[in-house]
Amino acid sequence: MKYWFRKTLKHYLMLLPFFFFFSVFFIYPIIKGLNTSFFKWDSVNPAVFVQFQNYINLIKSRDFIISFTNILKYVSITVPLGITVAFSLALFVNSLKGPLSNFFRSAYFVPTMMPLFLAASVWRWMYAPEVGIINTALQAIGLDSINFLKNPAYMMFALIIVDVWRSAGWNMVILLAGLKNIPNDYYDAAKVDGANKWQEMIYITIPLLEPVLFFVIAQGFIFALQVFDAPWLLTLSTTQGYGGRLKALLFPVMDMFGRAFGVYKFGEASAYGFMLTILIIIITSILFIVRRKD
Amino acid sequence: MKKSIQVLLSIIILGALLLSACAPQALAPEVAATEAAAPEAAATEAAAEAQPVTLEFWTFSDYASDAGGDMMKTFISEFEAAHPGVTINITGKGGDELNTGIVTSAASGTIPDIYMGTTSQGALFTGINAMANVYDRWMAMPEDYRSQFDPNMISEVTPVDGEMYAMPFTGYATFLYRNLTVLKAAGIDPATPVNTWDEWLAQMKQIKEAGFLGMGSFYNDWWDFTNIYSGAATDDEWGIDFDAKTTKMSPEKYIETIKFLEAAKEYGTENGDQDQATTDLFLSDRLAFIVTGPWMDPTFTAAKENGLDYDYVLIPGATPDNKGGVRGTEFVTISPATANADLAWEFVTYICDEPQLLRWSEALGRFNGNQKAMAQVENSLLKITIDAAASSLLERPPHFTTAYPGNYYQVLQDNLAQITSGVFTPEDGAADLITQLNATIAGN
Amino acid sequence: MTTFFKFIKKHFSIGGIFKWTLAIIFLIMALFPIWWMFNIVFSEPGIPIAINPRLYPTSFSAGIQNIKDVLSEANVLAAYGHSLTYAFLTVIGSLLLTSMAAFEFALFDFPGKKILFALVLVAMMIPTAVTLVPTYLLVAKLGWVNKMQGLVVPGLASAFGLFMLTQFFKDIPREIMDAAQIDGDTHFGVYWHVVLPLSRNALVTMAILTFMTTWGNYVWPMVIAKNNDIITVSQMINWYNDPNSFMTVNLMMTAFLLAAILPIIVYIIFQRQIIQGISITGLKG
Repeated sequence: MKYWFRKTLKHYLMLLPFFFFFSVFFIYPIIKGLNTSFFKWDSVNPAVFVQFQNYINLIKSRDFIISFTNILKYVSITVPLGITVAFSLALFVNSLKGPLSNFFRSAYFVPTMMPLFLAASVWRWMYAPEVGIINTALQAIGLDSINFLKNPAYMMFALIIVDVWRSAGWNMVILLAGLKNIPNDYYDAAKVDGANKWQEMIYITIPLLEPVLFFVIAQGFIFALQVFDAPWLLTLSTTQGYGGRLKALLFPVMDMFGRAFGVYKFGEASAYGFMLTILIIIITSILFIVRRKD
Repeated sequence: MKKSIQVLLSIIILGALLLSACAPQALAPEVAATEAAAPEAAATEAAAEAQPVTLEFWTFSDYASDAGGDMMKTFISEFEAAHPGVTINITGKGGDELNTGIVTSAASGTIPDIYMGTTSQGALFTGINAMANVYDRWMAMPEDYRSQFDPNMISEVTPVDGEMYAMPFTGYATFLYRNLTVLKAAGIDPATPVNTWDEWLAQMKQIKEAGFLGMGSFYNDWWDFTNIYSGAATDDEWGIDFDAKTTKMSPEKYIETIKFLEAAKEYGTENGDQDQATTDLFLSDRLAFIVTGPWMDPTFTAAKENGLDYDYVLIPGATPDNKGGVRGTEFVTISPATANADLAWEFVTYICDEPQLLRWSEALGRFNGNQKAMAQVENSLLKITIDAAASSLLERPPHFTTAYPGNYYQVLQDNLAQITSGVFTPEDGAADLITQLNATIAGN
Repeated sequence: MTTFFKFIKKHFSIGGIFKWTLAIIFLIMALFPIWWMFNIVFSEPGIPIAINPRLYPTSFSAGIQNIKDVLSEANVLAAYGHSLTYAFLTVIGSLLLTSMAAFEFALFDFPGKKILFALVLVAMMIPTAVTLVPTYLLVAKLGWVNKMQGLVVPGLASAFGLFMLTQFFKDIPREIMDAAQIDGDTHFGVYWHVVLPLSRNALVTMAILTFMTTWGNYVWPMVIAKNNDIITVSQMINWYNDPNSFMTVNLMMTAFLLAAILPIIVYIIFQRQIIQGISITGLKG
C-alpha cells in the first residue's frame, strides 16, 4: 500500500501545477458562472437571487434572438466556405513540386500570421467608401460604391471574407499535411484501375483525409461560434453600442460582453456564457456522433 | 523521490515568483493609494493642517501629461509651496477608466480626495454617493470669486437650488470645419455665410456637382446626430424629464433633422462624420465639411504644411438663429469621504481661479468655466468654442439628478439605423423612437 | 510564334490555365492587404486615393516620418513592452505547466488518468470566450485587474497546449526513460534531463504558437488591461481604430504595421517550425 502510494504520488505531483491553475481559472469560473447566472448582480451592490429570471430575460430579449440568428447564418456559411477554399489551396499546393510548392504554401499562410484584430482593422479600411481600395476599384470599373460595413445586406458577407482570408492558410497547412500523408500506392493502384482525377478524389483522397477534415471542421465550428474580434472591430463597437447597423453583425459573445461590461449585468452575462457553453458542447457532440455513425 | 519533490516545489515557487515579478511595478500606485488613505482617515482635520498630508487627485490623462500635464503640475507645485506639508498626488486616467474608477472606488470607500469627471456622468456619481454637496462651501466664497464663472456652467453643476456638486472646470463645444480649397474649387466664396440648412444643402449640392463631397454621415452615433439635431431643437426638446419619466425629444424636430440628413446624404460620403476615413477625405481636399470639436484643430494645423486650407464656423441650424452642436463640461470636485475637505476644496477653488485658468486658456486654448479668464484671451479657437457653446445641446441633461438608462442612446442609434436603412419612414421612426425611449426610461 | 503556341499547348491545358489564374488571384488576395497597409505608410499623406491608390510605396521619407511620429507617442513602445512581457511570461508559464502534465499523460499509467485526460479534452471544446465573464469576476476579486498577473495567469493552463504536447511526447521511446531511471535519475529528473531535451522541437513549436496567440489576444486584454500602465499592443490598436483618437490614416496604418512586424519576423525566422507544428495539430488531433 505504501509502495503503491509512493509510486503513484509522483505522477500526481507532476500534474498538480497544471490542474491547480486549470481548476482555479477554468473549472471554477464555469461553476461560479453557473451560480452567478441565478443572481442579479452589478458587481458593486449585493447580489440578489432571482432564480431563472436572467435566462428568461435573455431568451425574451431581441438582441439575443438577433445574435443567435446571426451566428447560425454566419457559421453555416463561413465554415463550409472556409474549408472549401483551404482544401482547394491545399490541393493546388500539393500538385506543385519543390520550391514552387513551398513558395505558394508560405505565401498563402501569411494572412494567418496577422493577429485577427489587425486583420479586421486593415480590412475595415479596405472596405471604407471613397477611401478604401475595394470601393476605389469598383468605381474605377464603373460600378457603384458599396458600403460594406454599414449596409446590412453586405455586412455578413464582408465579415466572412475577412474570416476566410485569415483562416484559409491555417486550414490549408493542416489539410496539406493530411494529403502528403496519403501513401502514393493508393493513387498508383487507382491509375491501374483506370480511375480519373475526380474518382481519385471521391474514392481515395476524401475518405483517407476524413480524420483531418473532421478535425478542421470541428475546429472551424468552435472558432466560429465564439466569433468576436473581427465583427467587433469591423463595426467599431464599444460597450455602449455594438453589432453595427441594425445589429447585422451582432454575435453571442459580443452580446454577452456588452451585457457584462456595458451595463454591468453580470448575472445575465453569466447566464449567457453558460448557455453558449451548452450550445457548443451540443454542437460538437453532434459532430462526433455523426462521425461515429459514418 | 524526495529530491523530485524538492525540485518540483522549487520549480513551482520559481514559477510563482516569476509571475509575480511583474507585479510590484503595477501594484505600486494602488498600494500607495490605500496606504496613504489609511492614516489620513484617522487624522482629524485640525491635526491634518500641521501634519504632512497627501491628497489624491485623479484627472483626465491629457491633463496629466504633455502640455496640459505641465500646466497642472505647475499649479500643484504652487499650491504645495503655499501649503507646506501638503502633497498632491496626480493620477491621469482615460475618460471611461476615470468613470469606472470612481464607481469602483466608491464601492470600496477609496474615492480620491479630488477628482475630475464629465458632468454628463454626474448623475452616475451622485447616485452612488461619490459626490459631496459643496453648495455651502461655494456660497462661502467671496462674491467677486463667484462672479468670475459662466452662470450656465454653474447651473449645470447645480441641479437644484441648495445642491451643488462640483466646480465647472473645462468644456468643449462643436463647430463646423470647412475645407476652403474644396469650397473655392466648387465656386463657393468662403465669405458667403452658411446660416441655415437650406443654404448649407445648396452649397453641398454645388460641391457634389463639382466632383467633391459635402459631409460625412451622422447616422452612426447619437453624438454625431445630436450635433445636427441641435440645429432644430432647443434645450427643452432634448434630454429626459425624470419626473414625468418621458423623453424630451421632439418627434417633429427629429423628423425635420432626418429629412435634412437624408437630403445631405446624396452629396456626401457614407463614412461617419468622426471616422478617420472622413478626416482623410478632408485632409486630401475631397470633402468640404467636418463637424467636430476643438481637439481636431492640431491635426488640421499640422496638415497646413501639406497645403490644407481650412477655417471654422458655427454649425448651421434649421433656422438662422438656431445653431447646431454638442457641448460637454468637465468638472472638478472633492470626495464626500475625504478627511481633508477644506484643503481639497481650497485646491479646487485655486485651480479654477482666474490667474490659473487664464494661463490654462493661453497655453491650451481650452474652453473653461471662468468667463473672466477667457475674456482676456485672444484665440480664435477659444472664441468659436465659446460661441458654439451658447447654442449647443448638452450631452446628457439634466446632470447630477438621475443616471441615464444604460441603453438610452442605443435606442436612438438603432432607430436612426432603421430609418436610414428604410425599415421605417421618418414619421413612423419618430413615433417609434418616442415610444421606445419612454419605455426605456420607465423600465430603468 | 507558332512554337510559343505549341509550348503553351504542350504544357498548359484549359484546366491548367484556370487553375493557375485562380491560384494567382488567391495569392494576390492573400498578400495584397498587407502590401497595401505597407504602402499607405510609405506614401505622402493628403493625396487622395483616387490619385494615388497606394499600389506601391511612393515616399520612403514619409514612411520614416510616420514611424517616428507613432513611436514618439508615449504609450506605443510601452504597449510593445507589455505585450512582449505578457507573451513571454505566458509562453514560459504554460510550457512549464503543460509539459509536466503532458509528460505524465503521454508516458505513464496511473489511476484516474483517463478521467483527467477526458476532462482536458472536453475543456478543449469550450472556448475561453464563454468563461470570460466569470473569469473576469474572479480576477477582479483577486485584485488583478490592470495587473500583469491578471493578464497572464488565467491563460496558463492551456488544455490545447497540454493535448498537443501529450501527442508529441508519445513519440519518445520508453527505453530511453527506463535507462535513465535505472541510472538512478528521479521521476522529475527523467522529465527534466531526458524528456525535455528530447522534445526540444516540440517545445519550440508550442512556444511559437503560444506566443502568436498571446500576441494576437484581443478580448482578454480589453477586459483586464484598461489602464495606460499596462495597455497591450492589441489595446493600442484598438485606440488607434477608435475615431475618438483623432488619428489620421497614415498614422493609424503605421501603428498597424508596427504591430504586424513582429509576427511577420517570427514567421520568417520560424516558418518551418510553425508550419510543421500546425501540420501535426491536424494529423494527431
